[in-house]
Order: sequence, then C-alpha cells, then structure tokens
Amino acid sequence: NLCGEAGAAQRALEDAFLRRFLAGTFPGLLADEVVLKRRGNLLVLCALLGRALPPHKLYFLLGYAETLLGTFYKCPVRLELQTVPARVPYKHL
Amino acid sequence: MAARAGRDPSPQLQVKSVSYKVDQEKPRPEMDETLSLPIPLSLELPSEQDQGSVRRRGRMPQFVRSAAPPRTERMTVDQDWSSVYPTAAAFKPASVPLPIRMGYPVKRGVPPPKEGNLELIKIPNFLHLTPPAIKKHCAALKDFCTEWPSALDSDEKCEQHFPIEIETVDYVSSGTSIRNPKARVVTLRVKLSNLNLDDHAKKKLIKLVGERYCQETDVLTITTDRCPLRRQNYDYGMHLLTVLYHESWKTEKWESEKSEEDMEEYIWENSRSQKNALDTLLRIKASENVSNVTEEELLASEVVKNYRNSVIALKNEGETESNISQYKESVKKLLNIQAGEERLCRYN
Repeated sequence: NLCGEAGAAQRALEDAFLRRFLAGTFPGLLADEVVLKRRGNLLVLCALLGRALPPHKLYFLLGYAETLLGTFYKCPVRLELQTVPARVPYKHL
Repeated sequence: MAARAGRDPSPQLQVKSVSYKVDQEKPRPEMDETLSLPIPLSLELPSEQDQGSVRRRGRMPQFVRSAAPPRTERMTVDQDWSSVYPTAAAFKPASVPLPIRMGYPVKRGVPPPKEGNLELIKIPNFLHLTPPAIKKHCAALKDFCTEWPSALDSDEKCEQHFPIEIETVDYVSSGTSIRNPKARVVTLRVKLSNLNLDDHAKKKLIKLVGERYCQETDVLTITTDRCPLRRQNYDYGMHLLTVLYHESWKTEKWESEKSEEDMEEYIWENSRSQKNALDTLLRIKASENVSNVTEEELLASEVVKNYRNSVIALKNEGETESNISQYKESVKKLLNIQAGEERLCRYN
C-alpha cells in the first residue's frame, strides 16, 4: 500500500502495462484477471490460464515473459501460472 | 486475430502430429496444474453444443486438455513440507492438500472451492513459514550470529555503559528504488543523570534545549534532519550534544542578572514569604515585649523551618491535600494559634 509514499504512480503505470503485456503474451488463455504482487523489488505475477496450449509452449512463454519483463523493469520477475479446465465464475447471479 | 489465435485448423491433424517428451518424475514447481501429460494422450473435444457456445463467446480455448492428477494425491502424510513451499509463493491448489474454500458463498451453498480461486491467490499466505521451516532457518542462521555480551545482562547495565540511544528508521517499499528521503532522520536520546552536570549546568542546559527535555523521564531528545545524509545528521547530533554540555558548564557574565521570574523552582531564602514571616514574628515578639531576638535565631527556629518547608512544597509541587494541611499546621504553630483561639478569632 503506497498511500503517502513516493512511487505510487509509477507502480500503477507498471501494473497497467503488465496486464496488457500478459493479455497479449497468452492470447485467449487468461481465465481471470492477473494477480500482481510486489515483495520489495520482486514482482510476482499470478495468472490463471486455460489449457489450450501444450506445456512446452507454455514454458517457453513463461521464460520469455520473465526475461523480457526483467530486463525491461530492471527487477526480478516471477510468473506463477496455473491452468484451470474452465473459467471459474466468481459469483453466480 | 488475437481472439482466434487459440484455435487450430482441424482436430484430426492436431492429434496426429503431436508428441510430448515431458519429464513426469518432478513437475516443475512453477507450472503447477500438471502440464506434464500422461501417456496415452487424450484430448477432450467439447461437443458440438459446447463448441457453438464457445465460438459465440470467442474467448475460451477450443480444446481442453485433460490434466494429470494433482500432486496432492501423491503426497504422503509425513512429507517434508518445507520442500513443497521453500519460499514465499502464491497459493497452488494442486500443491496444498487442504480442502480450503474461500469467497462469497454461492446462494444457499458454500464458498467456492480452491481450484481456480483467485481470492486464495490474492491473499498473502505463510505456507513457507511453518514451525519446522523456521527452525531450519534459525539453525542455518546460527552460524552467522555472535553471543550477546554476558556482562550486559540488565537494562541498567546497558544504560550505564551506553547512555546515548540513537534511533534511525530504514524504509522499504515495493518498487525498484531503495531511496527514501525520510531515512535521513536521526534521533538522539540521553538521560541527563548520565551526564556529569552540576546544579547550575543542569539548569542552564534545560533552559538551552527548551522543549526537547522531558521533566518526568529526565530524557533529552535531539532530532536532526537538516543534512541530506544519515551519517551527517548523526555527526551533527553528537556535535550539538557536545556543544550543549560544554556551554552549560561555562558561566557568562550576564547570567548573574538572573531574576526571580527566571528561576525554575521556588527558593524561599530572600523571598517575599520569608520577609513577611520574619516581619510578622518580629512584630509579635515586640508587642509581647520579649527581648530582641535576632533574625538568625528566628530563621533557625523550628516553627519557621516548618513554615519554610510547607511553602516550598506548595509552590514547587502544587496544591495537594497533604500540602495544604501541612501549611495549615505550620502557620498555626508559627502564629501560636490554638484550635480554640482560632474559633474565638472567627467569631470576633
């Protein structure tokens, strides 16, 4: 929570960029919103994916995203992926 | 284009051309929900109806692969949990063998299960900090620690050997920069009883520092933040302390002009109260025609001493029950009034 601290605007911009980047890297696969966590310098991205892609492709995309974002933002980036068979609705109306 | 990228041209071609070489022994910890597929391969194709609805939505993938059973089914009861969660990581439902539910309950139902539950991923978990894991951390860190010096086994000894307390704050925030301008503030705390000050020096020091001295705890607090670096602020704070100490021991010429308003505490000698008391006593003695008693004798007499103590207590400590009654007693003794006479005087 960066209330009153510096750098909140930069973090918000990074968040927006990261969501678009992941939406593009895993096109059509994201089952739900990406959960972004920051632990000091480390950036942890938790994404829920569908199971359309074979695992070796997913591993490749994982490494690609991690290295690219790491060199981009100069901080360690960890991507934690999970696959779900179908999209889980949060709330049935 | 992006929405259609997940689609393959035709199902049959897909089945023939595929081949997987995946290590089945150790699934990689990041990729949890079993992307290592068992042989034989099986692809569940959604039925025509599903396909129709999927096509209409246009976002969900067309093919749903069957996944290997989650790792939880292969976990033994006495496994080493610190190797499942060695570091802080997001919640992985296939790695945590607990039937946890989280979220707003479905109508007339239960909260949603852990598979695909975003709420469980959002919250920070402490699965990497179980007591056995912490014991392992401590055991590993023990080699880098030194013993606490045995001579400093009480707070008083610590204060005696290290009277000055320095307080600095380090700030950590989630971001790529470790700089924080608030980190340059340094606070020095020292008890004046630990400094070598005589009466005049202590009073002068308290006057010099003003608000930074706390009367109840006898602690002088100096906060410095005027320099850009913490080291500079610390040096400045120590310099201030040194200067205050030395200046308070010096006596300037103009300090002799200290008047009664500047005094910190009430001093009875040479005050109006003393003059009034002595005047009254002298007049009483004169009216009773007793031989002339000198002022020194009066001052040394016990009644006057009692009166002096009670007046000092009243002025310095404020008005309390005991103080006021003590004052009453001393005045009665001073003016030699007995209880009966007091009533007489009142009726007069």
